[in-house]
Amino acid sequence: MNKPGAFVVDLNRCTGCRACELACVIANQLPADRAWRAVRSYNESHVPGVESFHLSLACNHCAAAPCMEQCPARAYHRDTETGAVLIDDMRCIGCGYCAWVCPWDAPRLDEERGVMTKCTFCHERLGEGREPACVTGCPTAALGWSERSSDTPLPSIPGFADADTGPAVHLVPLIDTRRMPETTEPPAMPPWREAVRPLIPRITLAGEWPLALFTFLLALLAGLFAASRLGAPIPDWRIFAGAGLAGLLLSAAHLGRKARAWRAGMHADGSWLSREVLFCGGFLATATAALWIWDEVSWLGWIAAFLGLGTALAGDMVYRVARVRGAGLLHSALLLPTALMVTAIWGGAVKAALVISTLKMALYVARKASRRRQGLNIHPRATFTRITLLAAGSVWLALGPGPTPLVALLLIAASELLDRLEYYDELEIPTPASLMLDDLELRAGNQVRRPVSFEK
Amino acid sequence: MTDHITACPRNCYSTCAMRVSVEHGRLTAVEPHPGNRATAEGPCLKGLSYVEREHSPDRLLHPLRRQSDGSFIRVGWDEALAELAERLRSVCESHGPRAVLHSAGSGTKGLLNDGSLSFWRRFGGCTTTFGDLCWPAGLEAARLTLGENIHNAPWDLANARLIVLWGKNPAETNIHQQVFINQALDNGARLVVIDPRRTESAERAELLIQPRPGTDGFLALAVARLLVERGGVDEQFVSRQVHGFDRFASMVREIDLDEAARTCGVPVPAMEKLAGLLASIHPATLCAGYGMQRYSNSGQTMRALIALPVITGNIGRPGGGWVYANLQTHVFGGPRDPVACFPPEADDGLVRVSVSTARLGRDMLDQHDPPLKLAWVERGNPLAQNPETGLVREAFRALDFRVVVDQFLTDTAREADLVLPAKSMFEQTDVIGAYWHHYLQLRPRIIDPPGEVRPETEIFRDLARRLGIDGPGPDGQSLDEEIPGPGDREVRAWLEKRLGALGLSLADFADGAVEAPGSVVVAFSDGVFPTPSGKIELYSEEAVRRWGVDPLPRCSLPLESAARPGSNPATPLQLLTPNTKNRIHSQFGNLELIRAREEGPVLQIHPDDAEVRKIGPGDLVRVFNQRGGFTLRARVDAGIRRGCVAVPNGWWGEEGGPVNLTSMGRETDMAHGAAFHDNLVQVEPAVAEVEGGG
Repeated sequence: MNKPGAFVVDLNRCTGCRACELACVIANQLPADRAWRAVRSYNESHVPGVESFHLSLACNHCAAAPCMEQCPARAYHRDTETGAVLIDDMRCIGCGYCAWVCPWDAPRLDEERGVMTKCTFCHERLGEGREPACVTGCPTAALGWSERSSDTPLPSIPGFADADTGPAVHLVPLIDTRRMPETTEPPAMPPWREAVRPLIPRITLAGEWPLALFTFLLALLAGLFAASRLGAPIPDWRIFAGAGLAGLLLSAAHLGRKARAWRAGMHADGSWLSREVLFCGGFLATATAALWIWDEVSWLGWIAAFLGLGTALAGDMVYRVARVRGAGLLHSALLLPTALMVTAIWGGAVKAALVISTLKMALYVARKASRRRQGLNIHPRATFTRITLLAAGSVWLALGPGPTPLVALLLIAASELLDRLEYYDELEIPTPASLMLDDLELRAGNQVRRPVSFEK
Repeated sequence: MTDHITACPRNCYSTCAMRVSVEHGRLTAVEPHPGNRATAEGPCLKGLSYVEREHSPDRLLHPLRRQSDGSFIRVGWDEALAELAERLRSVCESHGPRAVLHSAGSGTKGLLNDGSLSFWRRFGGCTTTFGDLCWPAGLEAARLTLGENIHNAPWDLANARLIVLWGKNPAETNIHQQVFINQALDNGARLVVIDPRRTESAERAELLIQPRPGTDGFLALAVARLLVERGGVDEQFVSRQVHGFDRFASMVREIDLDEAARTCGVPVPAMEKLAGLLASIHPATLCAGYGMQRYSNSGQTMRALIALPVITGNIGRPGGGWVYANLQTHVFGGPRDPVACFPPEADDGLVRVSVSTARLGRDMLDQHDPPLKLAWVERGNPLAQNPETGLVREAFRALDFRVVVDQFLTDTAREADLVLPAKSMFEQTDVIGAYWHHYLQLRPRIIDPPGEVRPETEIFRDLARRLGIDGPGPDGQSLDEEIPGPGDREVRAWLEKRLGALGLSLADFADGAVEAPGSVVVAFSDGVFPTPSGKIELYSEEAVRRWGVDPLPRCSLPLESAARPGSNPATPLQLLTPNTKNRIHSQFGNLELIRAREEGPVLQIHPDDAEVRKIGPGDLVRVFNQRGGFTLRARVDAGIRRGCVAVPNGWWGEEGGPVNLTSMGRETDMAHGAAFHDNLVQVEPAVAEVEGGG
């Protein structure tokens, strides 16, 4: 095996038996339910007139691997012999961001060790001239092994992301004559109740609330600090530093390896997450210094203000890989506009603040309306509260007395926090399974609806 | 680390060759071994899971004795066997040896299994079962028609131009056949599937016919009528090789297609399409599964099915034929199945063969003179797998004493008074046959039995000594001749003797599988059919004589079918209990590797049937009829025919989904099979509290 290899996945031959997962678990001594390869099934509930198939995916050891490019701790490297993209256990901080940026849902958190793990291409086996365990373990030759080549474009297959990362996989799509059988049973009668197994969401508010709070808190601090450059009252450095420290602790709470948190800033040249960490650290340090020690040094304050807004921007960039149904890249819970709006409110730029708040209101309402149209839960009470608080704050700001509109700030900040929390609740990281479900929904039209409750 | 060639001895079509690695007494890897051409791509997920199964913490490593409070305590072999010997002696003295039931399942194949009955014959006899849970109706139908159950080698399927999978789902139950189906499709073959469910095997087919369960015979005869009428019959083949074709043809000419369409719930154009394919494409192979021969009408059903490859001239040619059971490896003497599972015509004075496997519970309770007092169960889990679990349990509980030999604490073992730990396939050398390919394979002893595990041979020998029956047996053979002594050398010597009679030796297995002596790749290519007429018999007088059925494969509805006039409207749904890729019957489901890939017991139900019952996906539902019921979750799935529901068999009771609480202990019309699928049920939403309430 001198030339770098690639997986071959033949949809015509895969029966979804999942022997590949077992082979992976056994060869790599993983817990039974933590295989590095996973078989996803399309149309398991047999929507009439729609094909069913299985897609077995592991890490595709991409030529331009997003996990490697985006890892803040530089824990990834490539094995030059085999082309395998590998994680260094000693460097990984267990932040899980690689799982967000991977289009194939390949990296997994090893909960016991607090580090990410994923398919290694069985590079030791490759070194011995053997194929990866999953390939050997496939009893129907649906999973194969071939020379890596980037000549043939990848076919469009539901569940396989259209990502320009150079995956080392050759997909054999369903042959037209084998797509699905003509059947003798009439299609199910409408309205057909939901029959698709739902997905367990990758990101939940319950799991990610520390990050929601951290990002919001930093945007708030950045805004307040920047406002001080415009002449607004300067916060007490102890409160400021305390809040910043609390934010940092919150952000580290989800790391698998907290003691290695410092590594998160190792990859500023490639990773927005690293940049966020560096901006954030730099902002808190310079801002505290500016407030406490050198409060007369104005250039330090300007640097701090720049770093603060940079933190918010980097935060938004980190979340680009996620999506919220009903919202585009520009949405009402973005951090930089929040920081700028706080700056404007606290700095007395009322008109600017009102422009941003109006824009946010419009984006928010549009998102909720769109989600409602899609039949998604819109949490009416939260929506009402968010809108009311934002409107009240804006009205207060427009009509309210005095140069330090604390009430308006509190109202709007509360509204912004609520939106940020909702945003986390609605965040989705596209995975092969979710892409499949999206595609099936589109294909089956109104026949398929998302279920209300199934998973325990 | 050492590598070994072995083979999987489960009751499965594939009987895979495997290359396994053993490191410090632990099984570490299971990989393909190409010596078996039928399974060269390697074992299925169950085969891979042996690395867990062999060393599972749930493995029974010591004899267990039930206490009066129902719990088990560990006992030594000496204590266990001393009590057992005493019990056997006392039962024998007061009721005779036939008060002991010997019940063996199909859990592990091997020649050494014969030792069990040798022991009981030494004991003076016993009572045992006849019939089989799995496949006898189809076997008998094929035997009556073709004379014997052999078929083309698995790889020959790649030569087929048309493949009809009838009631067979190889993607789950015979995954290695998929390889050859794919090869055939790559060569341009056509694929038709007939199954009430849109199975995994149907996904790549061009046509899926979903007949009403139990009406397959009607469908086959309607297609036969179309073939007869529209020139689809291979006249030359039929006139040369077939007995009774004219009578068959005039019978099918009387069939009303519209009526057949109503009976089967299959539109006439679909029948026409299938007939058209069969008429125009040769060679065609009909691969029949077991599901549709688990009805009370299924012997005749299967005879009707076999008629299709017969009248189209597909028998005896490469790429063609009837693929159901290939018993070419059954070469070690005695009759082949299904005859081997018929009750003997005369009592041999020792073994009373009087309990139908299909009616296990009822027949156990009905034994008199003597009634049953003690049961010995090995290689089986009748409390999960035999029909009508309620009665089986009642019958087991009515005994004075129960012994179960198993590797795990199954539903049946939980009912035992004494549980003896069984060896695994890696712990005693044996030779196994198959029923899909024609290879004999060796599974050598490569791991020492863990804990206090003893192979069954040693248990029987120890018991024989204790009972003083270790001298010459009733057939004049020494104990060593019948049951080999301890140690791999003795076992191998014993096997050499069995193999030597066939001109084989263990050395022949050094590179893996060995083709059974006399086996052929293309079955019946010589045109020899060992039937009474020497021809393929579409008209069978033996069928009349033996089973009292019509000499022609005339079909009727199953006894329990919603389509039958007067069927109980309270139980309108036909419950199918197919096999799943995740288990062999009730084996493998207890492993983490398997459990992690399964959502638990679920009932597959059509959206329309769910809708009218107000059942949503994932809802708890209760499946029940007059015999019993169980609670599990619903999987709403448009791939199953309306009016049918399905739960894979093999779940242990404690996991939910014990399907045989609802099935009836009833034989098939031929050959003493079990009519599992003559099973009408109702389904209703259940509330969580009902769970566990049974």
